[in-house]
Amino acid sequence: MKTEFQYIGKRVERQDTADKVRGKTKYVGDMTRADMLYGKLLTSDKAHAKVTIDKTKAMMIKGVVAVFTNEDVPQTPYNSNQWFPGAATAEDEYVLHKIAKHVGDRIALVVGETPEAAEKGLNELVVFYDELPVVIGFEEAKKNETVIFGTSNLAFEKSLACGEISEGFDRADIIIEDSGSTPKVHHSAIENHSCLAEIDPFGNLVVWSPCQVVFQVQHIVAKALGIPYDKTRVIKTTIGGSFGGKGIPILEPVCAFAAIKLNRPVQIVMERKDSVAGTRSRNATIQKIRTGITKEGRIVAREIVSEFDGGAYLTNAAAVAMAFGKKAFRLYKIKDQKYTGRTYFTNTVPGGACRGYGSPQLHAVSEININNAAKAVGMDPVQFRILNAVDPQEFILGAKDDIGMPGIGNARIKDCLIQGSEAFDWENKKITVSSKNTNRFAYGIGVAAGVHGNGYHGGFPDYTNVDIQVMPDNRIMVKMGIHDLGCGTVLTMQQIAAEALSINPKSINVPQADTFTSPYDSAGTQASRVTFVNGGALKEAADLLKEKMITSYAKLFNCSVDAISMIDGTIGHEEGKKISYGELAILSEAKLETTLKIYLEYKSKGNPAVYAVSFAEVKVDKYTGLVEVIDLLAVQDAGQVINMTLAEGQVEGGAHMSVGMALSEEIKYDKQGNLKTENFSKYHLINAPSMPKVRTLFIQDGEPLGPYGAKSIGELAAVTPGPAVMNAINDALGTNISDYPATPERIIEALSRMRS
Amino acid sequence: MENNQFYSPKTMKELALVLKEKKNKNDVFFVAGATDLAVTMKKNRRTDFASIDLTKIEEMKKIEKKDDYLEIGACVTMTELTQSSLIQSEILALSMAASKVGSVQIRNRATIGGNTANAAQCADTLPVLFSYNAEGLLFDSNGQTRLVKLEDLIVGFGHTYINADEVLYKIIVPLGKQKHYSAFSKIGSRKTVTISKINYAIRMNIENEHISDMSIYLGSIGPKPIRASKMESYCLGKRWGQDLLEPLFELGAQQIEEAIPTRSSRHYKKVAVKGIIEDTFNALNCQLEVK
Repeated sequence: MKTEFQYIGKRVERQDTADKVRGKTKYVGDMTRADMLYGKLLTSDKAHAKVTIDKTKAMMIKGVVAVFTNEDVPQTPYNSNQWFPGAATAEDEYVLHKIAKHVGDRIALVVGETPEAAEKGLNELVVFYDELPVVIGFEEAKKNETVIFGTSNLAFEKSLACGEISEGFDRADIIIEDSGSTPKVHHSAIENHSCLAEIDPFGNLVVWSPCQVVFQVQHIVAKALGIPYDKTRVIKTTIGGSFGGKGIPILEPVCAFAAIKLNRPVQIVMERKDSVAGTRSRNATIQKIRTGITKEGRIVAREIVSEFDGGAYLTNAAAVAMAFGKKAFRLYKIKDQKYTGRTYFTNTVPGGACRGYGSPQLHAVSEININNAAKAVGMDPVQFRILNAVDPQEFILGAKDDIGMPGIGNARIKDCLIQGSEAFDWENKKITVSSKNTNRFAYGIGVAAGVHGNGYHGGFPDYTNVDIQVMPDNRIMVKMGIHDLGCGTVLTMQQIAAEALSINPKSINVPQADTFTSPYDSAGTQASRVTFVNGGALKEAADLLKEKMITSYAKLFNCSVDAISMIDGTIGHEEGKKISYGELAILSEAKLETTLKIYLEYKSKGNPAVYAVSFAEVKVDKYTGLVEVIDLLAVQDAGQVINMTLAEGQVEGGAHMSVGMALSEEIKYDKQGNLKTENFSKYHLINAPSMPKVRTLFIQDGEPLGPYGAKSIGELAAVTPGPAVMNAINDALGTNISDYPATPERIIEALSRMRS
Repeated sequence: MENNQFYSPKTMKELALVLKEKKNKNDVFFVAGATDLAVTMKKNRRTDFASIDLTKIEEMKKIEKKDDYLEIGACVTMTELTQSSLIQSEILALSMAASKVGSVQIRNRATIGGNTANAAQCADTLPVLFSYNAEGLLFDSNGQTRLVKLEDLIVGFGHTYINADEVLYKIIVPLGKQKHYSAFSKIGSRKTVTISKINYAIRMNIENEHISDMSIYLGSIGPKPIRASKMESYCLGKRWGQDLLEPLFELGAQQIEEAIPTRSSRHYKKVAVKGIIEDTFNALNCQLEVK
């Protein structure tokens, strides 16, 4: 579906750019209110302990207004991961905790007139930890000697399957087995978690939060504090990055509680240490994969068992295991396949959404296994993937995949592999790369593929509401529950509406989510749903609005609808008068008694897959174990890119996170559950000098169910670069490293093991 | 001296006065670049303390060559050390080490005095200063000075023998009469903006193409840099060349094993040391070529 677009695909500049680069943008931490108080959280120093806190000395500090502990807050449990009230999950969190279940767990809040007073109050709290046995790591969790919640540390277990794997493995000539692991990863948003809560003049609670789902914050806060939903107003603020980390309310319940209790605005801004220890992380996994292939290189069976470290609270125990598993059935044609996922409680930071939600972990190990499978039959890893990759599905509404999930749609994985290997010069590099080797340095190339989704359709409610209106001054107002997480969501929506209506995107205002002004949205800005679902909804609403505008014009000027055209903000008939959309709105109200406005409830039409393939070349120092990524090409099956600049930014940023997971990022605990990586001197991100230039290539073949053919980009971007780098390292060294990250220590260890 | 006060002496005389005040207090801290201070205060949640700013004293900001030694003021920054032509020509290893400390922003603020007196085990300038037999010139509340070999002054892990009423005023680096060569290298978790897992400084003299003097220090594998005497004595008297490399790798690994025989990190460091030995070897070769 190739069409000439007016705005879609164009490099329209985002409107917040100038303010952001000049440091003028206001974040929650920059906001102030008259009489505002400052809250500082006391977080646990112990991984598992019953906590008793003596506030006396802290309360004597000048400027300390209040100290809240578990005894002061409502004893209503909640599950912060619950993003809509109908989600059935157990509830094991409280506003503040009496039993600390991980280092960084929130156990008290000190509120002061100044940040300094709150800080001093925090220093004067006398905390007594009655320590409990600690569960760190999978082995300890499985012993069940200490149970963190309920009757077992096994928080979730489920299998998914198609066909019968025993039959599949019988048909296999070779079975390739691999095991591997992925670490807990911190999101590393520049802005730490923060929140401001106040009571408005009408007695409503107002929560300002850089969040991903205002209706989830509303739900969790109202439920935890026992206050009416309709009097809980949550406003999404400018966000300094989330990557899933701000998807789950952490500070909002306790901040709102303090504001209500003290009847004054309260602001809480976390420090990095607490963001790492006390919010959420990507779930660590350990995995075992068996793949059965024929001599010709066809995959006939696969079994994947993955275990997830769910951390101290239930949160996403089920969701991450399921999201991981479902993807396994959507990349390669495998007739007989089984997946089993198990999530365990441990006394570590709880799991939560983190860019890619299960996909980065799945592909981290399975794509190493696929490389080993190709090697076992002497095939090139790109050709092996082309042979086994899924084909685009014929467009049928309601189509299903192998396990009954929504169809994969226009799946262009093969195009990614074919066009990508050409752009990377794979065939040539394969022959020449090792000629660069020296005693000290080894060079290698790697490829990895991956798949991700487009929302919740097929699993959870996935619908949204749009309210779109033409304003008298020839501008367009769009009300919908979107949250720009820095990806340019607002601009994406502006471009979609602009295309439908033929008007400059800058003339369209799309305010971000506010539970008092945005119509309901069932799932928020997460799960890679926004461009596909919310964008789809907006396009449909804008198309309906266009119809209404044409009908109104026809009525007003008494002409037939056929020859009416809308271009660049003006509407007219080929023989009649051309007027602006704003003038049409005024006339419609005055003469037709109607507003040029559409209100639409839109259900997602599908959940097609998106595909990516990355190609990497690395230089490995065999003395120091340091890896330099010298070339990285990321190819994405994007359907139709809405804004090329934003799309490139997403893919480059995703590569940064993914390469980080492959080389250096890892949240580490000691056996007592003490956090060893509480800040960026110990938690190593890839920094600019170590980051290669990321080359991007987009396959744009249109997704029939997406707005203008668009589908998701941003989460998928964080899936394949890391495994491609890992495969390149193993190619360079002849190793089979499958534990992430490949730190210098792990590389040297693998090399010594290979020599002995 | 009161909490949350900032004292900013402009002369040595004024400095002596504040040092007198500091003598009996434990909540007064020196501040030069503040790159360690800010982190420490935040980590220890210290909200009330006084600070003595050292950056307004001209004598502490100079690099000067005197006869056969170099005087480096304690407040000379890493960027200045990196860019100074005097340091580059006289103590190249120090310039190399300074250029590898932290980020550009850190290097613009961090000082050699801070890097020394903070006595972190991973301090990057220390192996170089030790390899040059550098001394610390201390200034006290009576306006007196004393000169102590840095290796004796530094205890490590944040401790030194600097008294409560003393400040590290200058670093004195003997240069010797003969032309010498030096180099520095380090290994961290990544290429740049990284804390050393091992760092390494080498200084040598060559006479008639043979090594007549050599000093090697390995850092980050103990409280303070450790002298690699086995490596030194192996090289002494030998011809400088490629043949030295393999034996140095072997001896480097031995030095690590001896320094940290029980630490699990030794397995990695024993191999990784090859990287810094080769890096400095190549750097010295370049210097010898342009000689």
